Amino acid sequence: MKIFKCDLHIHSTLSPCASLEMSPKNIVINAQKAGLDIIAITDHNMVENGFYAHELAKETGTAVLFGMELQTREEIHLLIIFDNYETASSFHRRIYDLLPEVENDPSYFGDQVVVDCDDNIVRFEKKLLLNSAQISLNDAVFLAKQMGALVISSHIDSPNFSIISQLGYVPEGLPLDALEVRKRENIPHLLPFIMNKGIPFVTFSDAHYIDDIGKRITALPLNEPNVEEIAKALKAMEKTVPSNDG
Amino acid sequence: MNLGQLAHLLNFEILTGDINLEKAIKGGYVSDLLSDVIANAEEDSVWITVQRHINILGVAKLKDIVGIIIPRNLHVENEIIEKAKTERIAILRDSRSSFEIAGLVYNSLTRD
Repeated sequence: MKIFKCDLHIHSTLSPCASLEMSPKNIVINAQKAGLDIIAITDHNMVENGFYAHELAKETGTAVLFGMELQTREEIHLLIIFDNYETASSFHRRIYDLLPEVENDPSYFGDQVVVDCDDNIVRFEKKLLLNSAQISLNDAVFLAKQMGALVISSHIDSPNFSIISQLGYVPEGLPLDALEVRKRENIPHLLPFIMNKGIPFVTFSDAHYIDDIGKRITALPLNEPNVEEIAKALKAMEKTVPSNDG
Repeated sequence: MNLGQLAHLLNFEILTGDINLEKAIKGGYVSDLLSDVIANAEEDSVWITVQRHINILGVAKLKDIVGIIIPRNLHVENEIIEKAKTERIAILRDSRSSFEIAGLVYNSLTRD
């Protein structure tokens, strides 16, 4: 078992709010510089740039998983991470159809750009991605789990777009693999709002700029850099709250 | 009725100076879900919300909303107020609840 340094929450040029420096190539180069073993590109409701990052990372040795940061109907952000691009892409197609037909206003939100391995622009995404797919939290989590994804609730200590800001608590019975926090010191304050006992906490960068990459990581002991191994390692992690077994 | 007249009539606090005060108001919308506002708000309206993060300005711009009204005297960061001025979106504030503000705005606009 080797310890893998993971940053599974990175935005690229395809996220309107991310810097246009965040091309797949720049992300992969800087992930390697930051000493990361596994990354996931998690754009808002999109997976496309992950394809190019994965191609590029074959040479650097960083493992790239295929992710998105889904925004549910309740405006809750979820990191949904797959092992292979085909499955991620088929999940994405279902989500894309559930995104409202509202055009992005690049002058305010920023451009949403698919960029290839050589930093060439492939296309501009027209639909506004900072929007909710018309799918409930429950349906999104269960669909993603059914398709073999890792599902992590984004920045639950944030006042916006987090499961706690939107619902007030983490409901029981939701099969989340982990809860992402921006700051570990917030964990004690969050515990009363977590009904679902025994989900581990993780921290990732939520990078929007090059310098953010790898700023916050979670180190996991794995045999292989894949979703199944990560899920297993998370299960074995120190539990958030001991389950009440009598 | 324009935004300045509405603010004066209902005694709203104006956080963004002269921005949009002369603009006519045709309606209003109350929602704290940005995606709901994106889907349903009409242009030239005021939007009553407790949300105060930067994305409200993007939504307001996208939907041609004249002004955002923040209830219960909730705190608005200076950074957001400055950005609102740049983007030419008015931000107003009042001590009453969203429910009361909506009722007052509705009555003022329908009497107009």
